[in-house]
Amino acid sequence: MLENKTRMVWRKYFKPPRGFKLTKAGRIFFVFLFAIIAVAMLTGNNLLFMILAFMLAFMIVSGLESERNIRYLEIERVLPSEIYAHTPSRIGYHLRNTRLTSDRLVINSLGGIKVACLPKGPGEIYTTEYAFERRGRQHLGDVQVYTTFPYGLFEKSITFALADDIVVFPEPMPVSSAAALGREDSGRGKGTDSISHVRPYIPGDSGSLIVWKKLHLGLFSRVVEGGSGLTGVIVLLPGGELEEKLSQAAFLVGELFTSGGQFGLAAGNYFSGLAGSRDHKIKILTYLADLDVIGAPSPAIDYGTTKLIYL
Amino acid sequence: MERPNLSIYDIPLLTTGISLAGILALSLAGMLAWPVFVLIAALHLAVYRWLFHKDIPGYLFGVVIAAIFIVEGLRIYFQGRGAVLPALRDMIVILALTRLVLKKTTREIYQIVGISIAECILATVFTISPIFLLGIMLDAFLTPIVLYLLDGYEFQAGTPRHPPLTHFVGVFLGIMAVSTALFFIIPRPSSTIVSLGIAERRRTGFAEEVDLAKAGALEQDRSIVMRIFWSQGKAPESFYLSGARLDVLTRKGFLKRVGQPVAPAVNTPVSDRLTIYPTGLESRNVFFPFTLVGTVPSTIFSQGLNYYWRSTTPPFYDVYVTRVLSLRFEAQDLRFPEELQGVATLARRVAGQAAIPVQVKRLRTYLATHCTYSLAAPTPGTLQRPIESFLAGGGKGACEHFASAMAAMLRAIGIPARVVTGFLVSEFNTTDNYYIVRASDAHAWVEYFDGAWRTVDPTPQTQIKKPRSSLIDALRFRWIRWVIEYSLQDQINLAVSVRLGMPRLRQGLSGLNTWAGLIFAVIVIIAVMIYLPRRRLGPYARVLHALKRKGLALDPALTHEEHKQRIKTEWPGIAPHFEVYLRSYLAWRFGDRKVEIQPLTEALIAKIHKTKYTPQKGE
Repeated sequence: MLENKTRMVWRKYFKPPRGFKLTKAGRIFFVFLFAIIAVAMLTGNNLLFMILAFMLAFMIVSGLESERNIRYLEIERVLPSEIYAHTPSRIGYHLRNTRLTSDRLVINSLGGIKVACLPKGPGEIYTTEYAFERRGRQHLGDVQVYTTFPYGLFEKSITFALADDIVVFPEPMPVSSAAALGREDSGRGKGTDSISHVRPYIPGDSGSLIVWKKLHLGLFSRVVEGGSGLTGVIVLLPGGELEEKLSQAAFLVGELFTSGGQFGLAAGNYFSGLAGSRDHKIKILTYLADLDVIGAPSPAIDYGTTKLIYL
Repeated sequence: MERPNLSIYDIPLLTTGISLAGILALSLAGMLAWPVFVLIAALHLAVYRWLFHKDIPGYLFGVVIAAIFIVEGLRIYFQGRGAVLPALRDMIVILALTRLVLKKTTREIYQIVGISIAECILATVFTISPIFLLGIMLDAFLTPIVLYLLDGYEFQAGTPRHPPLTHFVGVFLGIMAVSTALFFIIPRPSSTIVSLGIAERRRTGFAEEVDLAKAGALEQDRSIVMRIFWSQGKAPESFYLSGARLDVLTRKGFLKRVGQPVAPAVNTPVSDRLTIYPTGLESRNVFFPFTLVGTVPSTIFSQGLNYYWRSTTPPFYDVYVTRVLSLRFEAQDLRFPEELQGVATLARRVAGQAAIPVQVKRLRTYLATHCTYSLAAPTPGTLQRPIESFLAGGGKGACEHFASAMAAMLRAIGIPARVVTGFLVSEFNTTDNYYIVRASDAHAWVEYFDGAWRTVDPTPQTQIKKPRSSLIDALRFRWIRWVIEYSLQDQINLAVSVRLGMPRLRQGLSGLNTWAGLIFAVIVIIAVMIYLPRRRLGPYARVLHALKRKGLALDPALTHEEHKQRIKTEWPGIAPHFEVYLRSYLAWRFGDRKVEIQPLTEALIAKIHKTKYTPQKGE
């Protein structure tokens, strides 16, 4: 019981544990400090002990101020709904201090984020861009927030145990959906089609989709949505470069979803079915992120009349 | 362009200010003459006003450093060891000025702060004066501000917040308070290896040996050499503090006896105790009034009639004395050299045939009327037979001449006598109730035997000073006592007094009046009422208490399941957490599973506090 109580007190005041590092100025400060300790001990000169006491007191006050600065911090990781490998994703951190204003914080996770001043209150979301190196399931661990506040001699850090498991989708590798579907798309489509966005030209895109007005900036193609209804099933075939196929598939999934049509994925015995929803897209991308080996397509799968995109 | 542009605070002012603080500390420590300081201060003003942002090439700094090292190195080489500290001072001052004048980025400003701290450290080596603290305190005030701004500048993101100046005043006061406490706690070495920068004890005024042929006038040095607390016994208006007894009479005067040590009168009851703080005395003699019984510390040894400290004089010591006079004299105290027959003839003529006190009075009167008190140097013709010369033809002399002449004349008429040197103590500081002993209080007098050893002072112009109050000296003494001379022994005494102080504190508290006791009791009861109920509750009761504070009061008489249902309907936001907790709680309370319920309780209570409660109507 006593042990529990001690642990509780310890946790209350010191958890999460603080990290401590010297900055360059701090190292020089310590050189001074140890020199004074040595000379004071050798000579017994009380005035040197007084200077030593000043310096130690300065350290203590600095420690108290920095502790006050990070003591009541709270942080949550804010992740985007879709994260693709090798593609910068905006990772956010909701940082708040409900009791005090904090200064000069650095969120040290997936690239540092500097926060000059965090006002007391509900907090703010600070973001950084980060490109994950590989696809698949990944674990985002602890987040460290450190500060050199107030005097820049020491770097005190607080580590937050944030555990987030994320799925990093394959890096989209552009491939023309129209070409992949073997369809000479009119691009401007029927009267109900509307332009979703403009993207760089991909070989295979219809000439009618090219935005000639932007020729001076390079070749761009229009992407239409709402009615152009590109529909198809991406079928992954064994052999060839796996990562390239997965990347192309991820790109096509995005394109097909944007076009508003129904789409699906087949690989080995797996068939996602046909749908056009966002959940369906995420489901397919998650499958692609996890895929290690592509088996031969199962003849038992009935695709109906849907166009097949073989990769 | 790397230039600090640090918002509301004027960094040029702070930088020049911190640089000047270091120089000020050096100057206050007596290492820089005031005109030099004024010149340097003017240079600082010029830098602040015109030169701060001038881009003077940084490589000049290296050139200047190299030049300083060469010049000061040569100086030490040619002038020897004595030039080391002055060379160090010059180097650091020139370094500070060069750094201040040349280009300044954050790196250079850090260097200026470092140099300033180094100057303060150097100042401590040279002084014991409290005044130099002004420089150090100015440094201690400015350094946090400058470092704060530099760190904000180097952060290089957004606009740093700048607290008001009062914040830094608070920081300064905090540093002062903590450093004061630390100063007394940091363990002191029991012995030191290098003797550097400790208070110099050159001033003394006291001379163990009497040199009547001393050439050159005596100086009237007013510096304080001792402070004495009369810790036990009735403090007199004035007293003779003896340092050495001289009982060997030669043609040239009295000398101390060597060999045959006389032990202190250890079996005699102690009548008085004095605590002596020799703050500026070089001598190793043990000083005491009357007859010595013992000392603390007891590390003394005797040689002849005198006592000495085995090593250096302790920073303070207690002497235990008795006012009972010694009843013994030795043949040594009567020896009279043949060469001083002239003195003997004069003594017999002046003293005549009478009782000893009458003879003593006659001799004293003779000296007072025929000799003149003077601190001037004796004439060269008197140097060979100083006592005879002094007595013949109305001599001029100091207390040593009077005492030697008196003692010699007493011996000449068959009265055992000796010269005693020490201090005549009469200056009393009523602020802290201690005697002040100055170098100018050094004195010589006579002890003669008349059934017991008695004291007579033949010097005519002996003055007794009136007690007076001196706050400045009391503060200076405290500074010396508790800062400069603070030692390991003091730390031990402090620890012991804290330990002993506890029962005294309890005793003191028991002596408080009834009303104070009642008020204290009420405060304690209120504090207990506020604090303890929460702590004394069990884990589940604490959860119920927390819910109640948020507005959801649950009847403790209901079952856990009923509590759960009610929470589910009235506060769905907290219900899942409560359910999870309840499972663990029931397992802990009734099951045989080992569950750490306290952290879970704390976590749930924290969740309850953080979650917003909006009362909902149940079905």
